[in-house]
Amino acid sequence: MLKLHNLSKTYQTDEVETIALNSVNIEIEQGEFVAIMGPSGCGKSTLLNIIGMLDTPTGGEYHFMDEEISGYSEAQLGHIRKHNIGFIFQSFNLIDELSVEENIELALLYHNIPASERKERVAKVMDKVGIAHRAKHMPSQLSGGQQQRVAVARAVVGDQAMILADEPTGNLDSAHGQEVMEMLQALNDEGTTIVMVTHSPSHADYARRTINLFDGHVVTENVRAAE
Amino acid sequence: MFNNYIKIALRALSKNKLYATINVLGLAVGLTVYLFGGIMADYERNHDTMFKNHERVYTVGSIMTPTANISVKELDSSYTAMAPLITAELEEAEAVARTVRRDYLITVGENSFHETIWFADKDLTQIFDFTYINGDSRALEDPKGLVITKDLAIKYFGRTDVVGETLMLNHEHDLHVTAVIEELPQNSHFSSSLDSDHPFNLVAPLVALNRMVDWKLEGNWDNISYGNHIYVMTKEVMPLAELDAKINAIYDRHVDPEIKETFMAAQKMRPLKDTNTAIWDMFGMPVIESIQILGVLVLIIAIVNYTNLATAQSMGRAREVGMRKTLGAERNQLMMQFLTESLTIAFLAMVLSIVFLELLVPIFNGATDKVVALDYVGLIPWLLATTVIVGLIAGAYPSYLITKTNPIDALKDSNAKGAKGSFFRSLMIGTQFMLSIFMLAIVMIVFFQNGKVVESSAIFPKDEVLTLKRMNKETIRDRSDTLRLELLKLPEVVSVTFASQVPFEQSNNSTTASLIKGDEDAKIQFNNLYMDADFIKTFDIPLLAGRDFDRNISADKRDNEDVRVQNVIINELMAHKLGYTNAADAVKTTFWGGNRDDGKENFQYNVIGLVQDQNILGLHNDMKPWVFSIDWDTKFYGAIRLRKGSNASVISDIEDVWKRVIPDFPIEHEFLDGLFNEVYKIFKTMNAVLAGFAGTALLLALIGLFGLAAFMARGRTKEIGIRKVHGATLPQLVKLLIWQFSKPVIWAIIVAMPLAYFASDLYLQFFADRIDIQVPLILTAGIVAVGLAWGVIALHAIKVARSNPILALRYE
Repeated sequence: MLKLHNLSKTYQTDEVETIALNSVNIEIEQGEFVAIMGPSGCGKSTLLNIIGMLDTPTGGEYHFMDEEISGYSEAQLGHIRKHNIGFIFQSFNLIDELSVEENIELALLYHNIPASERKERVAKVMDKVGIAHRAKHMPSQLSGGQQQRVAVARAVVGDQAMILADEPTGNLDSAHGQEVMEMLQALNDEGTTIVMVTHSPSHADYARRTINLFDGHVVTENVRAAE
Repeated sequence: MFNNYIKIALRALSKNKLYATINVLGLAVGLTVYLFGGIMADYERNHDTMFKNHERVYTVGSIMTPTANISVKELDSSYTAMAPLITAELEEAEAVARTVRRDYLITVGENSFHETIWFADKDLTQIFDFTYINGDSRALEDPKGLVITKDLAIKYFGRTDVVGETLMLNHEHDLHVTAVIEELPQNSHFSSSLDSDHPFNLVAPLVALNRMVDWKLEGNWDNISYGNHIYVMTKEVMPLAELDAKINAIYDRHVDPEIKETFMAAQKMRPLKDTNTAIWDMFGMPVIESIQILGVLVLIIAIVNYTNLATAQSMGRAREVGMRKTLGAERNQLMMQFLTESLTIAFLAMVLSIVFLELLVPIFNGATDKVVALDYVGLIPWLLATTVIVGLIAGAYPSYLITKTNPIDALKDSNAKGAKGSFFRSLMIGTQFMLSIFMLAIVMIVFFQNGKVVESSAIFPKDEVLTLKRMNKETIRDRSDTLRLELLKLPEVVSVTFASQVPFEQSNNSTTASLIKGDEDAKIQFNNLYMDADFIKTFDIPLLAGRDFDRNISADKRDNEDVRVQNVIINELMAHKLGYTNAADAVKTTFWGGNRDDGKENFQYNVIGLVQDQNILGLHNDMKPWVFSIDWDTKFYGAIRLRKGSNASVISDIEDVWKRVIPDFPIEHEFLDGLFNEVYKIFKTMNAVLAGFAGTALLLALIGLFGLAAFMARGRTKEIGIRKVHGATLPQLVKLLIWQFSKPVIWAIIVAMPLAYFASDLYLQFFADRIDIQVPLILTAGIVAVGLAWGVIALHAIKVARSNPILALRYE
């Protein structure tokens, strides 16, 4: 699905050069569930952002679906992103002024999909994540777990092949965290590629492969034995 | 998609009510002022369009020379002699008519009324298609005919079918009604609200004036009155410049070169629909243009307000933008979204401002006697265009800025980005304050200058002098001595005088003289005031040398036109003009009138007294050289000096005396104060309008700053929390926040002050007696604006700085 070759990212300020990623080589296959772990500041989020095309690398190659995209413009990246990648954030990032269903619909809004079909797909995905009864509520009226379900629904409503989750359970208590992980598991079972940054070893266990980062390097990769 | 945008826009508004209120209200107020200015200007510039021929009707005005010394730059009229010349020499003319207004006592049966009759050439009815209820446009062909308006017919007769009824003028002449017309609408120059003393409701042919007082139908070259017009209707609509040139050619062929050189430089043609605005050209004040410009400035302030607030507020929506970008929104889609929002707000503001206008316009009409109408059919294109333009301009920068950010930064929702666009925002705040300080300074200067006008008018005992108007009738004049003696019997009456004019009466009767008899080049111009022996006493004018007029000295009074010598009292300025450095030296000297065409001897003036310089015309006028004299007939006013603190009953005592002595004419009296206010109201009105605009501008700027301070302070909540944790005190924090806004405000002062200086100088040029505190006033305006700004910011800063630092930190 994607292949990073000698990928690096440095941040340059007037005097200091910070290396966030240094020669990272990673390959992720279609349908994989990958967890990225590591201490604060090791470059996890940077890596995820580059994979998600929200950020661009300063060196190396990024092949996405056999396309080398490291030199693409923001508009080109945006185009690839919106058709292939869904995002889930630690802080949910729901839009406060929109209701649950409108927040989910947002992901289809920029896809030229007719309104009737959008409604249909939103309804279906809300059923799937069990939030249909809250369709008309505003995010502020929901619990954290419910908000993250909305975010998950938003990430998958466009039939994205890959979901990037940045500490999806970080703001949730363990029960709700568990729920979200099970939801991701289910999506993965249906064939969605999932790349997740997490601090929690138990949540990382849901993944088939864990990549450990330290100071911008890939330190180890553990592959969990198939069950 | 658009639904989604508008939905978000409305919800974002309802979520942040302070922001929404400030934005919509601010923009609505700005729009209201702008629209009102536009509607007003349009109204003033489109008078008289109800007349069928208005497009090819012009009025003849005149441009004065700088030496004309009559305190106006232009006049809306010209010499009456021009009309017959235009008829004869302008090929394109289809009809020409003059109006000459005269006051008469009209008697109908038992009742008498003082009225103004508009005497006109008979073609007036051909030029203007009045609406006839009775009679027709041939009404003025009858040399004794009279056109009367419906309301006046009802007042006189209680009905409108009054054709054939007779009215007596001053008990000696009769006219009969030949037509009854509808009242003219307010938006005609005939009913100008600035000249409400002479309503257009009686029109008689000029031949009647010729018969009654021997008014020369060929007109004259020595008398012009504001408000009397010469109308020219051309066969076709003509380019104004071409017509102007042709009329000026006629003028140049016939005018006495000396008049052209020293008094009236040229003719100025106006289309009929502009005639109403001629008064502002006369004063040389671009009032209507100023109103429009001020309206635009206020709107700019409102737009800047919106831009500032929306920019600040959009930072709070960075997360939304980041999310939308992550989900694939393209930049132009996001720009669209934010522009839709600002358009929505502009639209709401427009709706609100229409509500404001609906409330404001009737109040304004009531207060000013105008009939400004909100004609939506005509206005809609303008309103829509304004909404769209305002919406786009206001939304352009915030949408550009917010959609420019990288989604990652946006999602981090970092308030650190407050710094972004801070230059632009400072520029905006600076602009806003610059405009506010500018306007505030102008208003203060206008206000103080008007105050000065009032103050300097206090040299005359305005509320102790009751003036009697319309004294210029021979039959009243014959009884004026009896009237004076009878009035003096009242214990409250100190003195009584009759004169050609009283202070504040805007009338110039000027003559030229020389120190040498028979001087070909008599160049000393002065103003005449004809009076009796009590004028100087009545108006408290200090006599500096020589003596006052004396009834017992026969040489003090000139008895008829053949007497070519006269005792006069002059003022200091006249003495200086005559060449006496020490003004008192002029007493007991003689000066001479210019050579005459009619072969009469040069006029001899013997100076018997010297009075202190007092500005008799008052208001904005220059001090004039004055020559006081007593002649046999020039008396237009009476003036009764009352004892200080006389009680109100004295008025009815005076009325009783009048009724006894002059039973056939009703009395018309007004305190000198009232006379002053008639002219002063023009300045007062302008002051009120300016103050309205500037006040609105400043208020908007402050509201904007208040809102902006709220956002900025919120953006720095975390910083403030950290500073507090580390021991920053309240005053330190307040100072920190205030300083952030002070820089642009200080820049604004630096730019605004010179601008205000130049603009106010333009205004002050108009006044002869100017305030000398222009610079301190401008400085004060700057200090007031900055003080208010600091106050507003400090309020916020204190609130934020007082909050618990833990709350501030947790908020992040």
